[in-house]
Amino acid sequence: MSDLLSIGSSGVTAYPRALATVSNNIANVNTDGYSRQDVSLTANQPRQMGGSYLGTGARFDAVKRQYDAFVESNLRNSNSDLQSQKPLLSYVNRLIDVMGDESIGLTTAMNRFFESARDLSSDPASVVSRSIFLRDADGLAARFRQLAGQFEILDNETRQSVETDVGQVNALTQQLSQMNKQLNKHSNVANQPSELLDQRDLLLRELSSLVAVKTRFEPNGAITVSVGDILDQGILVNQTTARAISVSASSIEPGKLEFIIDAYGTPETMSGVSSGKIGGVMSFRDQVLKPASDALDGLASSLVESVNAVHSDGVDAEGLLGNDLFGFEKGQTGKATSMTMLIQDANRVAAAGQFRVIDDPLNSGTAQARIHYEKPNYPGPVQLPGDLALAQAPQIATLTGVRIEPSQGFSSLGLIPIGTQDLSLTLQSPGPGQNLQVLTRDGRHVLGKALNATQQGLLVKHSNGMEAGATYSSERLNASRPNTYLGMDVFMGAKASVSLSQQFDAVTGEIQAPLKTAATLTSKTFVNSTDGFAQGALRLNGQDLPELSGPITLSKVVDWINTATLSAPANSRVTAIAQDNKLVLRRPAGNLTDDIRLGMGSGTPADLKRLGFDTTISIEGSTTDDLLVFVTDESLSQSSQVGSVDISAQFKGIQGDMKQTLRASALRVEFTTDQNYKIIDNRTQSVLAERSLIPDPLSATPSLSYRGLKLEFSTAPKAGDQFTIDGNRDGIGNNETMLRLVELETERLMPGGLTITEAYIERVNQVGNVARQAAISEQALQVVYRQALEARDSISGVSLDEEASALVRFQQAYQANAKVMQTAMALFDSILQVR
Amino acid sequence: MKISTSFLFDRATERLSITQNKLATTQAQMAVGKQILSPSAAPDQAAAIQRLKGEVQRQDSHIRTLNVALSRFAAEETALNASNDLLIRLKELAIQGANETLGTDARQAIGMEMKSLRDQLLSLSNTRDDSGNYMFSGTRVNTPAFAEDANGAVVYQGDQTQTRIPAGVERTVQFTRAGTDVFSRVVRDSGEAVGFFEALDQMIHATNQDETSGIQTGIADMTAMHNMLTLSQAQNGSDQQVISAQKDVLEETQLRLKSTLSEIEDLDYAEAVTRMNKEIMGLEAAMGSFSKISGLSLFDYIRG
Repeated sequence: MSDLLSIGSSGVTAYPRALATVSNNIANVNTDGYSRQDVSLTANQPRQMGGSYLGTGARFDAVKRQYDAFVESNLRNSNSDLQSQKPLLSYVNRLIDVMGDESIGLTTAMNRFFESARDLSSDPASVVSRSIFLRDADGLAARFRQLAGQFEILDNETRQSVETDVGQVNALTQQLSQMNKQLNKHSNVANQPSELLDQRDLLLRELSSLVAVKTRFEPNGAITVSVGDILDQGILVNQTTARAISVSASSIEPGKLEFIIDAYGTPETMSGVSSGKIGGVMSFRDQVLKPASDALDGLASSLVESVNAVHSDGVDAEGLLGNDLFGFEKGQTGKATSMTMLIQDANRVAAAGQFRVIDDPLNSGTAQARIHYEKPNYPGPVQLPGDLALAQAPQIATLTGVRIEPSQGFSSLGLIPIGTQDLSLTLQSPGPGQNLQVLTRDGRHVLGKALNATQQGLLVKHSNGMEAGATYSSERLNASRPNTYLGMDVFMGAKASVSLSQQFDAVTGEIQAPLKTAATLTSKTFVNSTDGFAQGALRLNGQDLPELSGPITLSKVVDWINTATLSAPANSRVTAIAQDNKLVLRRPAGNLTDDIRLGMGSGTPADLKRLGFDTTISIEGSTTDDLLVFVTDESLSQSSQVGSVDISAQFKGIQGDMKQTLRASALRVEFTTDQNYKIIDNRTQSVLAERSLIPDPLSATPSLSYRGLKLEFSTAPKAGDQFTIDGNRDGIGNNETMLRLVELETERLMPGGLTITEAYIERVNQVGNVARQAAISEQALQVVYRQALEARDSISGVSLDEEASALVRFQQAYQANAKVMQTAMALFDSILQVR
Repeated sequence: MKISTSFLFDRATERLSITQNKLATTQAQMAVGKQILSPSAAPDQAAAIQRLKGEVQRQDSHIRTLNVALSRFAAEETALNASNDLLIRLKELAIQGANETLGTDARQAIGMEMKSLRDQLLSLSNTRDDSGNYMFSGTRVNTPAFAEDANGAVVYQGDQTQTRIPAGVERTVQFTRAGTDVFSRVVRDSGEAVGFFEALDQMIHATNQDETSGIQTGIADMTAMHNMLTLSQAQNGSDQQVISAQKDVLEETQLRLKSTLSEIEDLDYAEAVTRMNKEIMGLEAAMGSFSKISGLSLFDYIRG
């Protein structure tokens, strides 16, 4: 018979254990990471009784951890994703609150700046308006700095957050490696204590909230953790070793953070963190904060550049040229962080335009003129050709084989830009008929040989760099000072100046006043020639030289010159001598002021060449207008070969520009008829241009322009009308520059055709889009996470009601088993009572 | 599916806090009367709000500029009207003085009055605007437009630069009128051009000297002057018209912008109150149901 007592006793032994498990569940109802445990009871081995088997009771088999590996890993992954959105959303929200805020954002400051510029333009003379403008300009610079400061705070904060979180990751991986050590005591996961496994899973879950990890479980429940794309890369935990991550600032890209695993062992660069809290913070830094901060810097530099360009082009309340309004402080990395306002004095605000036009009070016409300057864009050359443009002293440059096409008869030698100092430009060994010509952009012939009608037509053309409608004039051709064009010291021929040589004190080595030597002009080796010179073919220091009949020899030339200069006063008289078969002209040794100028009257450079001299254009001091240089060759005809010349040049430097030169000198426009006008320099009375009004198809009212100055008339001027143009010095009621500044507000200065304000708003918009997307993703991921959590809880969670029913169930089972034992006892007693 | 105890509690608290958050937001919205409390509350609208606010501010600034211009033009109009009256009186006097029957004394009396009228005109030509700038000096606003030199001849000290001021997008209006355009020179039949005050001085001199031919020239001059002055008045009037019209346009635009802004930014109170009631109800229901559900425990029903 089966053992009733032992069956009952097996149940009585098993059920308290089941009850203990249930109470353990109840006790751990609020324990983090606890997995519900379940008891499994098994029937004992049955005993064979004849042909059948009889049960022998139940025994406690095992405590089972309610656990699903898939659900757990799902929970981890969804946790990583959700945790990555949370910091992204909260930081993006902070960023947009900063950028979009009225008191910190840029738009209000920007609007206020342009607004006060507009107010100033309606009363440019007002010191109050000027001060307000300065205050708001300062406010704008400060706003850039503040905003950059806010970005920096976010940058620091996120960096610290990443550093802290990485520290956390390292602590967790360390714990996990310790956990592996404990788990290694058993070879099968089934034998592991469930509390240990719970703790392992909890650590993993915490780790996954910081960074997305990949995991592999060993049969005994030990774990391998990696942060790489595959499990073999970026291993953090392997058996009992943990590899720490370290964060450092990138040496290549400032502001970027780099992650290195096991920096002090076998370093491995982490490819990037995309998920988890660290991933979220990093994607905020790299995808939102960095672009926003770069865009702010871009805005700052564009704004500063364009405002400065306008402001420094204006004139302030004291009639001085404006300076930069904004600048960048040195020693700062970002543009926005270092933006400052440079002007402190309200009078230094340049509100006025640089030019002014005054119509003569006695004009008989009613035309009113308006003026503005626009940098002109001429066709043709902008500098001397080739290396000549680089021939700044002590360099000398030579250009060989400049071709002259027979069909043209001339070739351009480029432009001597305004402000060129101490230029000499030499035509080497000129052929017969070759000559240099210097003209202004308005066809004023300065040096050379008067042009015939055909040549005028060829040279005075817009395509050669002339003003539209320019006409030819030889009024100031080859003039001597002070009658030269604009009073410039220009000369063409052979020239020698008083030479200066540096002197040093023999004892102290100090520089002394330079030693001056009288001017001496020495020719190349003299070659006899057959033809003589006509009266006035050559000129010495402005005086025509008399006729010299051919053939000529050196001694004849020496006599010829000495006879011609005989009447000059002894202290400045030029004498000629022959020296080493060369012609030498010199001033008396005591004359340390006068130079020697051997020029051409009716002669040509070829005539000068016969005396052994090259023809040089010499300009002393600075040029005060653009000068176009040509080389002409009259000896060429349609059938002849291409002409060729060699040119060398040297100059001291180029300083100053057309605009400032125009500002410095007053000029007037005089209408000789209703259509024709002259432009005259007020100081030298040089005629700068003689032209006719050119009808503009786009405008009903007439206008003219001179070197970029554009004069617009309200109606047609009348003969005799005069308009004076000068640099504005006292017109502080002038608001032209402020108007241009105001226009910057609507000018599309930023890439993509946006204004500065629009570009900023666009940036706010972009950050806004990220914020919106992050908010949507966060909501979606929240749902996913919640579902994963629910799934896990439905398996591993403890429900008190469930436990209550289990408690009752096991209690009743225990009581029933006890009753079985009682029954066994009773049965046994019954046997004993049988007598 | 099993609902674990902690899950039940966690979810309930989470939901309660969400509802409470919503209620707090609604309350804050009602307190400030704004739909959007901070840019992050409506990131997609933040850019639009900034743009609109900037635009409203810009219109404001344009309107302000136009008001400055209007007050200036009003002041200019006053000066022009007064000058016109003086010129008419001068002309009357000149016609009176041209009468051949008049004696020297009578002419000199007329000359005296003419002189004082001419001085008044000179002072009118140096009228200042609200900001204390000389109105007819062009851009030399700190210099009187007309002044007498050592010989008593009146010279123009201003310049002819015309300033324009911004009055809306891509639009500027003329702001200054040069003194020589208002008190303009006269071109006589001979082709000779004479300054405004010079012509007056010549006429006064002729009156004092009994030279009727000079007075006659003066009368002709004054007709021309009067024409120019009237022209300036007409220009002034039409400028004011242009500015007023432009102002209307701007105000209209501003109204439209403001209403768009309000639609985006301002709170619809009716909607907000309804929403709040709904949220309160929801919160109450959540709290009530939670207290009931959490009170349910099997342990309570098992009698041990």
